[in-house]
Amino acid sequence: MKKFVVIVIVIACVIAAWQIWRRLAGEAEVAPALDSSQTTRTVTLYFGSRDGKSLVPESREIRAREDAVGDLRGLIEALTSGPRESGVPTLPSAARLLGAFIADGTAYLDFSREIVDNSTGSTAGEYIMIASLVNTVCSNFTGLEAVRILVEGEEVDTLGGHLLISRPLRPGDWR
Amino acid sequence: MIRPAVLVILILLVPALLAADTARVTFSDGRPSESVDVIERHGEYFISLADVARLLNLSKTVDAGEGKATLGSDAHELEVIIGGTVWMRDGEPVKAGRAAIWDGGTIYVSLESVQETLAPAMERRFRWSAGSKVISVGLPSPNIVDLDVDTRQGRVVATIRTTDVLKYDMIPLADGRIELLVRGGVYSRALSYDSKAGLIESIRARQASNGARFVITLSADGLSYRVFPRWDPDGIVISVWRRSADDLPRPELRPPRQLAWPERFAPGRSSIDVVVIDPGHGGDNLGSVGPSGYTEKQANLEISRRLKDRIEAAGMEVFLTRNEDVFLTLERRTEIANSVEADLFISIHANGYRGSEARGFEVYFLSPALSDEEKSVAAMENAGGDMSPYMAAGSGDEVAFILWDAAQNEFIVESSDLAQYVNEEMSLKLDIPNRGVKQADFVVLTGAYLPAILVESAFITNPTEEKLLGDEVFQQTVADAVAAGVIRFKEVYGR
Repeated sequence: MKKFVVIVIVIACVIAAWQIWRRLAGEAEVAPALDSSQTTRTVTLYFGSRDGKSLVPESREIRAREDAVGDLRGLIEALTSGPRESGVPTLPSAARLLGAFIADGTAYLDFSREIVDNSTGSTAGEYIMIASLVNTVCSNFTGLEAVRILVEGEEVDTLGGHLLISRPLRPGDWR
Repeated sequence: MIRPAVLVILILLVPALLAADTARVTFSDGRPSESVDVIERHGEYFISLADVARLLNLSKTVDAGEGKATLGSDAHELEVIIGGTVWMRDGEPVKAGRAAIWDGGTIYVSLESVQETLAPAMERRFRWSAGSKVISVGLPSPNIVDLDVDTRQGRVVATIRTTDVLKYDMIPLADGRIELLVRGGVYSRALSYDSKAGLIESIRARQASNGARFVITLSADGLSYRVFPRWDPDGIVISVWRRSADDLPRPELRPPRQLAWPERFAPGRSSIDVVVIDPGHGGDNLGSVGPSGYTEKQANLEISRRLKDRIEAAGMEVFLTRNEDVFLTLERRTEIANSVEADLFISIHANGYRGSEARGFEVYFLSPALSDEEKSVAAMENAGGDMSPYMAAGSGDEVAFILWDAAQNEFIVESSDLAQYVNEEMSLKLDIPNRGVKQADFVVLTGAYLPAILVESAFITNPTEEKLLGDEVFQQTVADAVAAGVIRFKEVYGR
C-alpha cells in the first residue's frame, strides 16, 4: 500500500512539473502586457459608433492578471460587458470567452456558442463586432498582430452568416 | 491486491471504453446485419478503414511510412491520406469532407466522408444515418421517381425527379446525344420520353452499377441546353432551347471531372444572360429582426421577387436561390449560382445593428481574394495536396492556379463596377442615406466564380426603415434601382 502512495505522489509531481514547465515555456513566447507591478491596468476598448459606421474608443481600468492570457481574458470581459460612454455594444452580452492562447503574434479567442446564436446584427452589426474585437485586442498588446476567433474550440467560417472569418483578422482590414 | 500500475491503466481505460460506440449495419445483398464499432470525434462519427473495406468488399493495404492506405476494387483504386482531405482516386484528386485520422494504430474515416466520397469513388453504395446510427450497404431503395417534360416559352424542360439530392455527370456523346449519369441513382420504373415535334426527341434510361444513365437525343443541331440541379423538390433539370444568332455557344460540352476547375475561369463572357438572385436568410434563419417584428428574411424575399420580374422584363433569365421561406446553407446558394452558370450573382439583404440610429443602404463586393502572402501559402498548400478554401483542386497545378487567380481578379473588377452602378441607381431612387460601396469577405460570395455583389437595402433595426422595408412601394423602388444597375452593367459588359 505504501508503494502505491509513493507511485501516486511521483505521478502527481511529474504532472505538476510538466504543467509548470509548459506555463513557463508558453510565457516566454507571449507578448507581455502592461507593467505587472500595478494592480490595475488602463486599456482602450473599441465599441461601435451610433451610426454603425466606425469604432469609438473608451478607456477602462481593468484588474491586472498574472500573465498575458489572463489580461486578454480581462480585456474581453470588459468588452463584452458593453460601453459606459456613448458607444454601442458590439458583442452579445451572453458570449463568454472559454479560452485563449497566443501563438506567433496571433491571439486565438475561443468563445461560447452565444457569440453565434445571439449575433443579432446583419452585415453592419457583424462587421463592427469583428472590428471591435480585433482592434481592442491588437491595440492593447504589443506584439499581437492578428486575431483568430474560435467557437467552442472549432474554427468557423462565419459568426452571423455574412462575413468570412476563417483567416487571421488584422486591424488594418477591419476599420 | 491489484498492482497500482494495473489500476492506473484501468482508470485510463474507462473513458476510452465509454467513448466506444457501435453502429448497426444492414445489407441488401443478403448478408446478415451486424454491428461495427464507431468512434466520435468533434461531434462526428468515424469508422475504421478496415471495417469499411470489409463492408464494401474492397482490398486494403496500409503504407504507414507514407501515412496512407490504398483501397482497391476491380475497377478503381483510392488512396486515403491520413490527415489530408484530398485523396487520390486512380491518380486524380478527390476531396473528402473530413481528414482521415490515425488513432491507436488504426486509420479512421468519418462516416460522412465514406458516404459522400469514398463509396461513390469506389462505385459502392453506402448510406449513413447519424441519427439512428445505421449504415446501409448495397442497393438502396429507388431514388429516381419520375421524368417530366414540359414545354414553355419556346423551351423544353425535362425534369428528372429524385427523392434526394443526387450528383450527376454530363457526358456528351460523339453522335451529338447527351448522356447524363445520375450517380447512385436507382429508378423505380422504366422512364422514357418520345416526341415527334419537340426539341427533345427522346430520353432513355438505363440502370448501371454506379447509377442511372439517361441518354437524351435532341431533335436538331444548333440547340442550346443546360443541365442543372433543382432543390425542394429535388431533381435534375435539362433545359433545351433554340439558339438565337447572338447566343454564342457556351463551353459546357466538356465532360466534367469531379474536381474540375470551374470552366468559367476564362475571362470575358459572351453576354449577360443569366442572373441569380439570392434572398438572404430564410426558414429558421430570420436574419435581423426589426423593433416591431418585421423580419429580414421576409423583406429580402419580397424585394428579390420584384427584382426578378424587373430583370426578366429586361430579357435576362433569372433564378432565385429560394422562392419560399426556407432555410438554405450559404454553400448551396453559391452552388446554385455556379451550377446554373450564371453571369451575375446578387445577394439581397437588409442591414441590422445594435444601435437603432444606423440608417441607409450600402452595396458590397468581395475583397481581393487573397493577399500575396496568402496566395503563396495557398499555392504551397495546393502543391502539398491540402485544400485551401480559396482553391479548387489540381495538385501543384500552378498554371491553373494563376489562371484561377487572374479570373478571380477579373471578377473583382467587374463586381466592383456592378456594385458602383447599383449604388448610383439606389442613390438616385431612394430617399435614405447612401453608405457607399464597400468591400468585404462575404461567405456567400467567396465560392462564386462570377461577378457578385451583396445589397443591404436598409436598416431593419431602425424603426423608420423597418416600416419602409415592409412597404411595397419601397420594395419596388429598391428592385427598380438594383435592376437599373444590372441593366447598365449588361450594356457595358455584354456584347
